[in-house]
Amino acid sequence: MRIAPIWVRVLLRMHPRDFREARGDEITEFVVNELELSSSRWLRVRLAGDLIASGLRLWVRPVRRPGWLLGRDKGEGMMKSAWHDVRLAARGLARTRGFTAVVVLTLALGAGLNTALFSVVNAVLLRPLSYPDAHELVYVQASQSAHELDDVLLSGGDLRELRSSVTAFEAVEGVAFIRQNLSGGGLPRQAEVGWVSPGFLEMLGAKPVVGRVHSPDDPPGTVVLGHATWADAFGSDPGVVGRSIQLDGRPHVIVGVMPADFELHLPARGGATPRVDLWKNPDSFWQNGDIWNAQGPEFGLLQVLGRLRTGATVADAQAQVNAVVSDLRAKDSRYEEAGFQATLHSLRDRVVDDVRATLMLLLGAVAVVLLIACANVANLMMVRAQARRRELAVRMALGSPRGRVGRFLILESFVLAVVGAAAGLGIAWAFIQVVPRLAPAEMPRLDGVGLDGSVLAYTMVAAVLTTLLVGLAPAWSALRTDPASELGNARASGRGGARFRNVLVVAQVALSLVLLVGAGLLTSSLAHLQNVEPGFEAADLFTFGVSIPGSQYEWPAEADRFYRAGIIWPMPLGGSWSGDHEIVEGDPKPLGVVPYRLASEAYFPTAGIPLMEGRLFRDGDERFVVVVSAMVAERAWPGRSPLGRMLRANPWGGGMENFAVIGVVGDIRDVDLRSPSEGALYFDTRGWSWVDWEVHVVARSERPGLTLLPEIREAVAGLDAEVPVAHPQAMEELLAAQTASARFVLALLGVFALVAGTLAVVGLYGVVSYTVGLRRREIGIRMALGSAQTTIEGMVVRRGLLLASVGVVVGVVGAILSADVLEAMLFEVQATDPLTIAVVAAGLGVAAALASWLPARRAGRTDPVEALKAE
Amino acid sequence: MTKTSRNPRSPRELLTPAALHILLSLAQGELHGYGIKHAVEARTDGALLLGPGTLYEAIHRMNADRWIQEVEGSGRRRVYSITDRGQEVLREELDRLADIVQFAREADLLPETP
Repeated sequence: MRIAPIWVRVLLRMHPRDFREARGDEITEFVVNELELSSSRWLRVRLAGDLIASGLRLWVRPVRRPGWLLGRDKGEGMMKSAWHDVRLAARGLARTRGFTAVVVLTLALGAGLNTALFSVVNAVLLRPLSYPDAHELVYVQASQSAHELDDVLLSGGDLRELRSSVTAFEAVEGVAFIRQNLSGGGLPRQAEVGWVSPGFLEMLGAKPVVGRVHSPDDPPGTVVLGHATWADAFGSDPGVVGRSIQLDGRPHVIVGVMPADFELHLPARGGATPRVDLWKNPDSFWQNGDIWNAQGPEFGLLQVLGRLRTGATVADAQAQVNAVVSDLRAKDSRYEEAGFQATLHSLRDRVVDDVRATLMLLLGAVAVVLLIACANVANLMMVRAQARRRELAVRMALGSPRGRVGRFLILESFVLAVVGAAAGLGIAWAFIQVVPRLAPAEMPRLDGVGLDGSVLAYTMVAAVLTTLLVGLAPAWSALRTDPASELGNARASGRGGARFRNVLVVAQVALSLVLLVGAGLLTSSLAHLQNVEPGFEAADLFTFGVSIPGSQYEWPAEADRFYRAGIIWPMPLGGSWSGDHEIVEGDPKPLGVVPYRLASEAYFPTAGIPLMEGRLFRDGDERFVVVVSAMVAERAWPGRSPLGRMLRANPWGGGMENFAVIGVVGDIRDVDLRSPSEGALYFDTRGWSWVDWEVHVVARSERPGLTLLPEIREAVAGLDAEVPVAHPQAMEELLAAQTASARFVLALLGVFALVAGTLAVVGLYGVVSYTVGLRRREIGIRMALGSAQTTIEGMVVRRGLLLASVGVVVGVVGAILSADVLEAMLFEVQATDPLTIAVVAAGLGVAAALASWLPARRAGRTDPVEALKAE
Repeated sequence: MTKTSRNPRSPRELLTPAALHILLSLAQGELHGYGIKHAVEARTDGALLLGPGTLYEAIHRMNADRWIQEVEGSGRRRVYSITDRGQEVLREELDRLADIVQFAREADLLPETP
């Protein structure tokens, strides 16, 4: 016989054994002959298709059945008999309630967790954005390779260039976010203003509920209200159009109101996209003047979106954008020096970019849970099928065709899978109520999480897969039963599936170990993250923002009375502004890009940042003084005192100026807890006009954060009744937000890992118990011959531990191989951390020992007389 | 015209095309499986291509029902011959087909063979 191609051998395995043994060689010969004549792919497909068809036919209509070669089945219709079998299966399952309950619960856990997580994935990653023809929307992502910045804002001038040159865009528009004081009616409030180019809202297809969106002819500063602002501040008054509101003390005219369901989706840039209270078209009523007309890489203002013209592709638009970029770089050396680039991305893909990896990881983890649940159920089904071997053998001996018996077993699994999935929907529903509350703020689009059509379809597919996974093995083993030998030998060994069961248990232990190691690593990572010293004392620290209207204050004398408090900008952990600075004195050289903040002298003691050398700012200082952090001092003047030395910097834009170092303070984490401090320069708030600019005030009190709020409001109102207190927040909340994402992943992965571990241990318990049951007679004989109870117990426990340790070893290898997946999420922990792996492996080992010990104890108490009599 | 009273099967029970053609081929002489395939393809001008599964499934089933049998000592390449029972089934099927053809002619649905 010639060697058959592998696919032929695989397909032959599909055929009943008697057929394969009788005809396998001839079929191989046939196929090899054919392939010698022609080796076209089409021929192979045809041959394979033919073999699949004959395999199926032989299962459905076994050879011995009378009337085999003849057309269709007459009597019972296929569907009718299938329905009969379903009812039969349901009745059988209802009789074995314990078995059914365990199986349904296990499958419900697997299917439910999967459904819940898929509903999150569907809502966040898969759904189109809530705009008409959302697939046409692209995000223009600019980067500056010279500064290693991969998502920088574009200037108003850049937007103009794109609009005039990129014809593949039907529209290209930009948005910036600023905060302005909105006054008139009740408390003054700070409004999050979406400062948009005139066509922005129209490009997103917004349909205003009252009035209209911006038009290109609107005068500067025309306002469209957000729905919530309209309801809160204007009592949903439909006559609001045409009315004037005050923003930072200047009048603005309202032309429309956005719909309640309008949401702005943008790629997150260091935090969630703000909820916009009102939309304003470009104006120059802001302290920086007409920055919409500025052009240059340092005038970044806008996040830019484009809508592709019908028929245009992203590639077309990208080619034109590239042309604009090369033109800018050729004309203007600042672009060239910055290494300016712009790439287009599908808006949806970019919006969900940051959370995609997290969600896919969780989806993978939860799929593993389902696999383990399936393995457990498959094991239970095997045991049940073994127990029913005689029943099935009798059926077959009485002429029930094997195909029918196999189909019955599959249908039984199907009934279980469907009931399990239905129960799983309950679990999914409960889970869905909780998940959005756990999710970090930067997880977009969570509002759409729910059990909709596509989620239900996913559950159905999961149920069908489950059916196949748990049903095929027992059906297979039952079909291989030889009725004669089964009936002839009253003490059927039932060991046929032993190897299969062992493999399943090993796989379960291994998979659950991988998940548990993942959860362990995240726990350890989170602990490290929570132990990070931010460089300031977060406890009892409270912050809020104020912004004083430039229209009412002369700079700087009048504004000065606000700065007696601890003022900082930007907030610690709130990102930072960076500037290129130079050392002038000591060892003149560029200091490179260093973050800088603007602070008042009260900030440092209030926030708990230590003064290490020199002094802080004080009244009467020259404007050009600077406080540096210890890290900057060490870098610029290693081993020498920095006091009195000079730096060149331009914190307020304009040209570089000299600043004298007056003090050294401790370093803090600037951007987030994960990133090490890069050092910082602090400039005096008094050097800068703070009007129309939100600054952050820090206050320290032993009273819990928000109880302080009324007094703070009163104090601010005492200074200026029109100035609102914005974003009051306890600093500890801000720290908690830093770890929210890690806690979310850990909470979910932790639940999945615990469920997986529990299922695996229960599976091990089931297999050991079952084996003990099978060996009852042997154990009886051993005990009759004088084996001690402890010997028997040891024998059983050893067996369980052997299986568990093989699983643990495989799992450890798996955990090490899959280390890459978690690496990016871990903080100060190696993905192959030996301690974590050892602890998890040991824990699983102890659980496995317990799971084996329970059946072992039962085995040890076997009464030899009873055991031998039973047969 | 003959009405076949020998046919014990109901009119709906038809031989599959593969079975009919295998029986036809073997009625003309002993063949091995791959030879049957070639004979069938030659006779039908390639209109009926027998795949390995279809061919050997039919052979397996017909062998089990003793319509065909293996020729003793045919060696590595198993050679099959038609049995008396197989001849009978083939005959019945051909009669049935002839009846149909006859009917079609009488109804003027089919021109006389030239």
